[in-house]
Amino acid sequence: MSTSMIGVVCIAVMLLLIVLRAPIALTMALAGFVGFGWIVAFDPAISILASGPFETLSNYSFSPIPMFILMGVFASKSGMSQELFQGARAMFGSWRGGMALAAVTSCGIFSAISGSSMATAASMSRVALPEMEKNGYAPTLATGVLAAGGTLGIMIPPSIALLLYALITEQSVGAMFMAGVIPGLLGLVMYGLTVAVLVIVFPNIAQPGKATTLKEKFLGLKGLVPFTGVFVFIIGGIYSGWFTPTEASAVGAAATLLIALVRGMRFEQFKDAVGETLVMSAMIFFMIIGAEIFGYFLSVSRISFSLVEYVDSLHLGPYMILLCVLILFMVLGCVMDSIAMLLLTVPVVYPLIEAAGFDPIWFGIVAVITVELGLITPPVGMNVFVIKSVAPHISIGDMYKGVMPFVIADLLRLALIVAFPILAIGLV
Amino acid sequence: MKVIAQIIERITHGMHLLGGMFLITMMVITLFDVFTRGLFSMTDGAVDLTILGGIELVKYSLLFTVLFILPHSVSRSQVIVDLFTERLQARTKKVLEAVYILCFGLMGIGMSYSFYHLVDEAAMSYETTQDLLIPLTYFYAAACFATFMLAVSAVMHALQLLFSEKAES
Repeated sequence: MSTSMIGVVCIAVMLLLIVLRAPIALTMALAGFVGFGWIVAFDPAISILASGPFETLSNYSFSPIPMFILMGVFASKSGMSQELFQGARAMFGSWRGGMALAAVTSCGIFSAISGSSMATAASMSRVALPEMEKNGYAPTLATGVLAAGGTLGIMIPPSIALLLYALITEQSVGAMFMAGVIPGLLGLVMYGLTVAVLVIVFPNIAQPGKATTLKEKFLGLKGLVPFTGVFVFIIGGIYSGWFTPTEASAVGAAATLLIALVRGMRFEQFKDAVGETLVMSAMIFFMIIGAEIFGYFLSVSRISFSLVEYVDSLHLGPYMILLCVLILFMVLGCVMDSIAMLLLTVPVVYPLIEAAGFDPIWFGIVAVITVELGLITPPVGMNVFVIKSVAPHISIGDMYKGVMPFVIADLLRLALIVAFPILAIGLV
Repeated sequence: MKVIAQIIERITHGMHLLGGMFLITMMVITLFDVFTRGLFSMTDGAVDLTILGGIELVKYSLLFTVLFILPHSVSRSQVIVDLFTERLQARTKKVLEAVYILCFGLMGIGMSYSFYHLVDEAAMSYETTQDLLIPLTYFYAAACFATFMLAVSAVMHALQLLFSEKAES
């Protein structure tokens, strides 16, 4: 059997195991180990079980992952998200649909110090959902806007997904983060417009809130201060050369901790925050270890090269190749977690995209937006599940109905970025 | 078995706490590194509190953070796709979970065995870290222990899933 055929068999078995509810980290590690052993030999395969994870876990570039999570969890545990939402609510709450707008704006701002979509969705839904329900917002709009708003965490820097993409494809992390700024803000604007269109077409789904005075609006800005402060501190520090993008994660986490301590964070909350960070980090690092072992197998099977050769032989145009890759991402996104999907698919499809002549940074943004869609599309939308855990009384069906307009907004954004790559690479 | 499970749980929980300490250590070292470097450049080198090997300390703190949290998290921090198996019986799901966790146990044994050999190799070649010249044997030995505990924790959890009445209920 040729090495490529062994590669195909192992990947097929891996997908079968995923369907049979095997942990994704395990399926990657197993396929990688067995495939590598089959092609090379099992003695070196046992060696890569240690050397692969050791190299990865002692790779300095991976150190921001737990720090970005810690930063978001500190902000959430210290009640910063609550103050942020109240501020945005004072600003827009009196408009029809204003609280939904406040929720999506808060998600966008929270994303500026959180690297994880699920952390953003969980944190903001705990604060904003009860308020929207109390004020007569339709559950579809209230949950849809929060699930979609949470996805901004994966695009607006700092972002774990962008960081991982940069590490997998050996791109600059700083450039990747800069590339995420405009698409992230575009997402925020488009979600805002979606809310506006929805309340114009279906006025009954949102009620206008109590009017606020100019003074209340101004005081509401107080909630923005810690987030803006940390964000400006991080970006300013990177640009002035005080610290590197990798160090920025730890500095940002420390700055957020400082704010949390000033706001009265106790040792118990601190312990909870660290514990929550460890659980989320373990989930990601289990998959990174699996992906590392899988990566060894991909290299020896040369399956990516065979794929490039095969696609070459089909004489497809670059945009047709891109369309196929994006459809693959969308299909997988319906059933798979976003980080798992990136770790699993990018090493395989990246050579294809590179060979088609696309800009790797631009493709990273396009890939992450597509992956982001998977967070809110049925049947497995992780952000929807997060919100379901906060609001068990709202049906999943209503939640998916609520996210659909935002999925359309995301597809439009994707089309815009594909049509105008400058939107992604303009700041790089 | 209950007593053994409790002992293993305590050890892995202790390792988890240690992992948390390494996480905070990573943050503190980076901060110290950034601060002393800033001070050095602001004073044109007059105040030099910079330390050698800051990056190395962060690197290995990350290694220990992750290795030490794996045993406690092996049954708690997994991403699965349950869309296609939603309708399976609870018992079948439990058996599948046990089998997969057992596979993690096997993986842990393989990793531990491989790290054990690396300890020997590093000792023979006097392999050290680049900046601080710490012998790599210590790191491999810690990794060997952590992955061994990953295996033990995974096997114990799989056995509990298969045979414990509590898990059954």
